[in-house]
Amino acid sequence: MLQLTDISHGFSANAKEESLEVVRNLSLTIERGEFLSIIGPNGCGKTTLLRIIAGLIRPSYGRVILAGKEIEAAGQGVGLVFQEFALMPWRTVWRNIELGLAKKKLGRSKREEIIKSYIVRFGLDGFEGCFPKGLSGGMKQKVAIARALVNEPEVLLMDEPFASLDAQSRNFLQEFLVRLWQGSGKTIIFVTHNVDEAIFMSRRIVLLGRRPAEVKLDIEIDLPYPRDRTCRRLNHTRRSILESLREETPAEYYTKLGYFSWTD
Amino acid sequence: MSCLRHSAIFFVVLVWQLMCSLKILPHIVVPSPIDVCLGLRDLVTLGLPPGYSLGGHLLASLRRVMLGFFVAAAIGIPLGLLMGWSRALHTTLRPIVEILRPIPPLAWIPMAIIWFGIGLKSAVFIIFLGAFFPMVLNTIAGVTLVSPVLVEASLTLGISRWGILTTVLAPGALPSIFTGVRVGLGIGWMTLVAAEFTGVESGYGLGYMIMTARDIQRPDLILAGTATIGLVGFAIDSMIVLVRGKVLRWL
Repeated sequence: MLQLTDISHGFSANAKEESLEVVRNLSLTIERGEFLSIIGPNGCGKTTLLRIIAGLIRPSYGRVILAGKEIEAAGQGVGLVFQEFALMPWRTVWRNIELGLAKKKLGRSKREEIIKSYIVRFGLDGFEGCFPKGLSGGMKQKVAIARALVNEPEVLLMDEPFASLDAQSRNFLQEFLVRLWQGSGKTIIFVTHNVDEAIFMSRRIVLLGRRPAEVKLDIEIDLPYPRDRTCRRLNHTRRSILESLREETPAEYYTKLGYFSWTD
Repeated sequence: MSCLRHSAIFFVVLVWQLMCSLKILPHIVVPSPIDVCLGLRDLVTLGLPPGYSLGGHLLASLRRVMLGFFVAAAIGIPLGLLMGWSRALHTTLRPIVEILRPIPPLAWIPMAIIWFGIGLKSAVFIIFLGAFFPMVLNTIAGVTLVSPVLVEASLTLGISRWGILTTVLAPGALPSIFTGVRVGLGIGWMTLVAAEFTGVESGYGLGYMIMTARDIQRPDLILAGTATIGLVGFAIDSMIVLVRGKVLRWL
């Protein structure tokens, strides 16, 4: 179980100025094995929240507790997948995945066996020796997910991981991720601003309000897997979330653009 | 492309030769390419001073440059990595680096002679000063250019702060380090020849040879010596570019 208790966080440009509050009094309990999506308007503090959970940022107030232990630094059982893939360009696919095993003391053959199994499961065979520059966005993100998972985190955080992919790769990776989650039982926290994506994949959706981030809506999506993107119930849920999201969107969006579209 | 490059050199030499043959350039001011080539032959076969062949001069100079360059790389690159990695180290050391950097290496020659005497150590010290700063600065720049998201990704994988330096920052800075090496080696050559103008203990050295040619008023030999420096510098740089292409296949 992952518990966020009363988290507040602010950034300040300098010590004298009042800090910009990004997250305020946010509490959230996430069951083990949950697939939670966090959505919210742009700049609402989703990414900051993920970085706090990952241990990359210490929050100004509040605590993050994973299975009874407070997270005080990065690399303590929480993996993170980035929108920008964050692969080391000088490492091949194989050696990028191997980086996830860096802190484990394993024999060479055991190490190779683990990496090989991920390569096969992720459909990366034949690309082991490629550098990231030669891969498509979808492939790169698969490598990044494999790298995060070989590290065996209890929780996998994903920060808009499919936002920069083309529609086809994105659909494929969404289905892939759902199967992966069902097979592994890992807790996944998925940040996105794509409502369709959240509804298609997750069991629970949390909607954050505009900055500072607070929970505005917390709903269960009680639909069986694999899900049909076009089913009526999915569409119904989608409509109600979109409406809530519209209320949370700063008025400037409407005045500046004249209209606002939630599709990417 | 390579055809174009060679034809450009050929064209420049041709124009130069024509201007000398047509007496547009006086012989005593600018020796013709043919004169320079003949001078080069004399330098190889007879030597200057007689008995001191071009090969010997080249080897002596190469040895000095390489020694100075390797000492500079061995200190400069790790120092640059550390300064890029640790903000505290950067703020502490930056003023020292930035005060020493604008001082021309040649301004150190009198002190170098007092400290090390005329000889190998002085020359190596002067080359070290020339090659050191470009390598430090380029390495620091390379480290700071590494995307912070790569550092964050490594931290979430449980890699330590020290591990970040060796697995992320050092390989990420490699393209800039190569630039530093190329610039450093080039400046190393420039300072070497100037340093040799002040004297060498063994009688060998390209800079020393050029000064000897000046003393006996032989512009053809002077230009033959400078051409040698240019060609060898070009060859060394080409070798680095070749190695760079192999090492940085991922770029």
